[in-house]
Amino acid sequence: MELRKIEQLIKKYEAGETSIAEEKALREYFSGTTVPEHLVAYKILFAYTETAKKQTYNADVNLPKKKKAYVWSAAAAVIILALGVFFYQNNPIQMRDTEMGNLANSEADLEKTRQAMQMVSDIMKEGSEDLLYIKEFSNTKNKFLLDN
Amino acid sequence: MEHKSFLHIISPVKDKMYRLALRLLVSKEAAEDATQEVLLKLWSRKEKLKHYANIEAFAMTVTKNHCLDELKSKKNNNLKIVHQNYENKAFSLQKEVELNDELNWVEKIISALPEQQKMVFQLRDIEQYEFEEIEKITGMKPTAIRVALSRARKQIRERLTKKHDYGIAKN
Repeated sequence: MELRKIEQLIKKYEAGETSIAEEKALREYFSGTTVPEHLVAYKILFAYTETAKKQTYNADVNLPKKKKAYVWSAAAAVIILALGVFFYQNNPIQMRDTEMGNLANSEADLEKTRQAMQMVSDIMKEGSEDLLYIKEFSNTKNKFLLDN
Repeated sequence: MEHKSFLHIISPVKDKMYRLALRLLVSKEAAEDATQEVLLKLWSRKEKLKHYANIEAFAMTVTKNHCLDELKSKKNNNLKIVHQNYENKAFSLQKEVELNDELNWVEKIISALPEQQKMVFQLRDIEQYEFEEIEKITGMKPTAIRVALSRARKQIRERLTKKHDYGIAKN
């Protein structure tokens, strides 16, 4: 490009009025090797803009993964709940069946139960006989209290 | 929206977001943190994101706002970002052109510009956005954009010419 045209473009450039295309033309001109002495500053300026554009953001992009974790924990909770309900509803029925079978078995069972009850009641009676000593204890206590 | 589709939408923009953050916040670590935070912000608003006609402009706007907020809170804490800790690896690739030093000058000159000029210069001369897009991103009026751009360009050119002449005189 002619030097005169370049100088005109530069005037426009410094006024902030060049278009992207015109700036591209300037950039191309100044990327050439030979530039008149009075335009060296522009060569440096445009070379700088080229290198500055090459910087990149190299750090990793860390985005939070919260949403997914919630979905999984919700799924786990639902599964645990379902299992719980399933086992809770199945077990009582099985237990009742076996219990009914044993109870209806025979009269001997009833007799044995009666004996066991009797034993418990005998032991209880023995225990309550021992309680008589407590009466003696209160007799002694009353003696002192009434004396005073 | 899933991770994948979000990343697909955002990956062409994330470098531009990072470069804008780097321009404004100067330090590499701060720019990376800012970019990550903005990405998280966009992710949390991903459902709304679909309704924006221009997701790129929106992402850039969020980045700009985030960085300006960051600068404000830093200034309030009386902390100044020291730009000596900023080392640009991209420049070392450029050694064959022997412009290494000069490119660092440009970097320093730009970092001394006011925030608005930095931003407009970044969006126009480095990312090559159209003026309408810059309006959307910055929320500035067209004339204000042109004025800021013109001032930034002139300032950079003047400082570069001075430095360059000085360098020659010294030799």
